[in-house]
Amino acid sequence: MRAKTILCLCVFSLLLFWSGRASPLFALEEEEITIPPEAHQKAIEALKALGPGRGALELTYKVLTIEGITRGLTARIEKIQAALKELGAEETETDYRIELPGDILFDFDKWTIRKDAEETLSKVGEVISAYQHPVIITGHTDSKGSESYNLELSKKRAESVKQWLVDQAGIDSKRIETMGKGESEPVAPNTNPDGSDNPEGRQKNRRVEIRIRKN
Amino acid sequence: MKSALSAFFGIAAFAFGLFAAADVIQTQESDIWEGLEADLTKISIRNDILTLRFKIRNTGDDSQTVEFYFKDCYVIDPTNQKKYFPLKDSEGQYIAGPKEKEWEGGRYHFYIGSGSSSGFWVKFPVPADNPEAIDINIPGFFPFEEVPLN
Repeated sequence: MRAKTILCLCVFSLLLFWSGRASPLFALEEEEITIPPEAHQKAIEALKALGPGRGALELTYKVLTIEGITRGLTARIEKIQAALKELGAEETETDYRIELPGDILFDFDKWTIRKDAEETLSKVGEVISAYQHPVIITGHTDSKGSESYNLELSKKRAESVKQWLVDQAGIDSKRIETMGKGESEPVAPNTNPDGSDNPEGRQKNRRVEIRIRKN
Repeated sequence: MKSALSAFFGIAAFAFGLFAAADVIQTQESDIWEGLEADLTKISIRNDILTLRFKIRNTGDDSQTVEFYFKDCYVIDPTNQKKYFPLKDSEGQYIAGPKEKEWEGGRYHFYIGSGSSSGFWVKFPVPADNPEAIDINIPGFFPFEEVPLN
């Protein structure tokens, strides 16, 4: 008897909810979204008008590289590499070493930068700007004149190069250290084995070395 | 008798839940109107026309005024990377409703009180490449994604 009652109630409940879905209570929502009968015919005509593509738009997307920056960086790197090459820079594990002949930079016995040297120094400035690390400028002379005089001249020449780079190339002065070695570190003999003058050797010794740290 | 009544109410509740759940294909929350949810309630395809029915429910405490233009609704065939817009009649009106205004092809604009709901429908072309599933975009709601067409 109890089982029959439960079964009847279950069937009744299902019927109740099934019929209830068509009752006005639920029909209210249905009414809100009643589609007018003519809508479908209009849709058929609209579809025909669209043709086989059915009005589809292709979804397109582009992968944009930040060309401006890439291009700028590439151009800058190429410029720096070209400058290093033109300056005859020697690359070591820790730095770039640029050796500038003293005769290009200065007149005899002077420490004022020659006008002709500015193009070369501009390239040095570009390279230094590309790295944010310390720079050491060292002046060297030949052996003509007294040792103390040459030491002082080499210091002044190193300082002149620094000042030009600070003033003209906008390099932060704190990044640059200068020193003068005078005639103490020749790269070529100042005299020949027979004791005669060696102008070519002395010319090589008159120089300014610029070391740009890479890190 | 007591246990019979318990069983009755239990089954009744289960049956109600079953029918209620079967009404909705997918639900998405609104990203504009707080408390609103859109149910995709029915998809029908006839004569290459896709008819979608939605119900917007306000589950929040505050009333909301929902407004969007049917021109901003679209269907995406993600497989073939194509986008389809609602069909338009010869007068430039979107075949969708209910519409409040005629300009821009018609717009849906309803005030939906807390706990209330409102429905709408839109007709689209069935995507030409007959994809198995589509994405549906309704302004103001997160997209309905991977909605099966079969």
